[in-house]
Amino acid sequence: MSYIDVTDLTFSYVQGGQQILQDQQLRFDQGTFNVLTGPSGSGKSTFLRLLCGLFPQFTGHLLAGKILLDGQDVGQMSVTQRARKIALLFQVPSEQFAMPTPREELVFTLENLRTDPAEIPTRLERVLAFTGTTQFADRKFTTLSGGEQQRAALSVILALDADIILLDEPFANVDPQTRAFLLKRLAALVSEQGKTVIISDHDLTDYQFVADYLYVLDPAKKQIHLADPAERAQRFKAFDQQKHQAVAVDLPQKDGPVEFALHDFATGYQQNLLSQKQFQLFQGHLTVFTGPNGVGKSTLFNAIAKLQGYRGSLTWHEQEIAKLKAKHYNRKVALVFQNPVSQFMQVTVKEELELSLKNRLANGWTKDQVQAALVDLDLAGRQEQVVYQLSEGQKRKLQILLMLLLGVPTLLLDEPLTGLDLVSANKIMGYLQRAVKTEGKTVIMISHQLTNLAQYADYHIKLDHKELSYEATL
Amino acid sequence: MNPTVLLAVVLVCGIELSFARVITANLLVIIVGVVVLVYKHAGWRTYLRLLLVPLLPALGVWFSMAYFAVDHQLHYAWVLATRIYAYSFLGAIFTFSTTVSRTLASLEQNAHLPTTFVYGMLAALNFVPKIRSEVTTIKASAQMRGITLHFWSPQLMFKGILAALKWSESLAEAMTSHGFAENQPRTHYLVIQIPKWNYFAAILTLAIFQIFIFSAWP
Repeated sequence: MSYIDVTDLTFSYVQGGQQILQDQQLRFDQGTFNVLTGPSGSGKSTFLRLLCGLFPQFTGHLLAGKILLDGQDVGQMSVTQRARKIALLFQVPSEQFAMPTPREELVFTLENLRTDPAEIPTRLERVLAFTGTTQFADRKFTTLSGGEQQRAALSVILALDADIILLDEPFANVDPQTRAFLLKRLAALVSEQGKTVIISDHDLTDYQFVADYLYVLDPAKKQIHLADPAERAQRFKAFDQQKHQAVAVDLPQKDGPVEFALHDFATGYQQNLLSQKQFQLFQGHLTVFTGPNGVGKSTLFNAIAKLQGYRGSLTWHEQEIAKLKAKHYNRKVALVFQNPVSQFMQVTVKEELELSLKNRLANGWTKDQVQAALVDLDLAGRQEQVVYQLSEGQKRKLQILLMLLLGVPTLLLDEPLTGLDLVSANKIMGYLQRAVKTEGKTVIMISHQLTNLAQYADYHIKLDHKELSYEATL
Repeated sequence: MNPTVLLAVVLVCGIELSFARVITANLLVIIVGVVVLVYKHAGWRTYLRLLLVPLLPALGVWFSMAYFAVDHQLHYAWVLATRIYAYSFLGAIFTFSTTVSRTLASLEQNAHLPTTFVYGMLAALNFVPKIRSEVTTIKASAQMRGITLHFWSPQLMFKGILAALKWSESLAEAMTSHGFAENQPRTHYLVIQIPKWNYFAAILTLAIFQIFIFSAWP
């Protein structure tokens, strides 16, 4: 018998509704590094939640089958027993903490496990050091970047000291450096401490040499299978070819029309994240922002979108943004939020589309264009579905579509490619490029995912050490 | 002082005040309140707030008692007016002596309140800044789609409630996966004890207070 045994598992969210998994058989051995891949929205998150018993405890119906952890049925185990055996790191970083700071969350977790209070400080420091979280352990989660939050989340998982560690798309909001660091840490947990790691990710970069097994979720069959050596090699090769290699991009002509200008600009919650003497963003181009986690990319976008204050001067077409009325300004300069749900105003996909169509500007999309895009983005036939029940990838695609069809002249996008598989990401980039090239829009986006981006982007801006600079490669 | 003991003392005093007709007892509470505030280095805004906020209701009851009551009970008018101030200072004594998280921790450990309640409250409090930023986001997001939302807009409420529901669900999942189970025993890193002198101080305080309440003083 292996460490995790899944037999005849059939799961559905709604009784009698569409099944997510069907007759699933699977086994995982102890001390192995497992990667689960598959298109976004196929049910990877669901499977991981089933493994750790959150489903069907919180939602859905286990129609058949069972999951054994080390010979014990997950459904029969108590919460504390389960937490010691199997831990899950969630996809959305900000939604996994009950306490205000990483240190308090760790103490809360250790108390739950009935850890001897005398032992808590040493365990705390050990896990904080292991994940490199010590320097921001006492900062509030609300002031931490996505990458910092995921490091903190991993500390909590380690504090649980569970044998099995599940990670649900943990690197969606994480920059490549942090991703590489965390992957190395996970690999060390497997090889040195004999932990079992199961990580779901649609991006297979860097896994080739750490993954013992690759599993693939096939949405058509509603089943997960172990990739045989040929499939494994082929899947990794596909990603290897897409491995990011910097490509030359243009530097802006300094006499082009300026969209935004910064003078002696500074912003940040507690300290200055960004302080810039002089900088310009150009109109009618697709500009990509990059930079490590937590350097203030989102903060800058929030300042531009009037969601946050700033010091110094920040102008839009030579008008000071702080003095503009949000009501008019935000119709011309709109932000595509990092969290897609923030963009939704209605309940169903259909209502959302109707709202955007009703309020679109003069050069917005036609109904036919929208219909074609829905089919293209695999969202057709979901018109009656509640937006909040879409998968993360579907939410993302719908969100961008809703903002594109409005015909807003300037779009700021905060990590629009998060949670999207490569095919979808390429499609989205295609739409954004068309908006710039044929509709004359200005698109400015933040992205950690850089694959193929150079073929769509005009300019590349790097934010590091509190300063912005145009780069000649992307 | 231990928050649970302090809470008990404050509650008992509060209940007694509402039945007593003793101006000196009210004044005693106010004086103790001022002493505590001075000791805790409260800012001048605190004093101003404590002075101004109860002013209107205090004046209101004073005038209605002094002028409009059947027999113009001037003494009772003063009782009611000072009582309102006494309540305000009673609240201030508590809030300036402890913090919410310390109170909840104490209620969990000393008063053995169900952990579900304690951590529910704590999580809710941690949500407040999140809710505030969510409301700003919702408004901005609506603006971008061509709708202006006001604080009374049903759509804002709907989105707000939806966000709260979503958070409560993910919070429940997160707490569960971090090993929290309803009303299961836990250990405590920060152990909050009730020192013996707390009991003496509480009994002494209440005893002195009884003298005022049951004396023949006005």
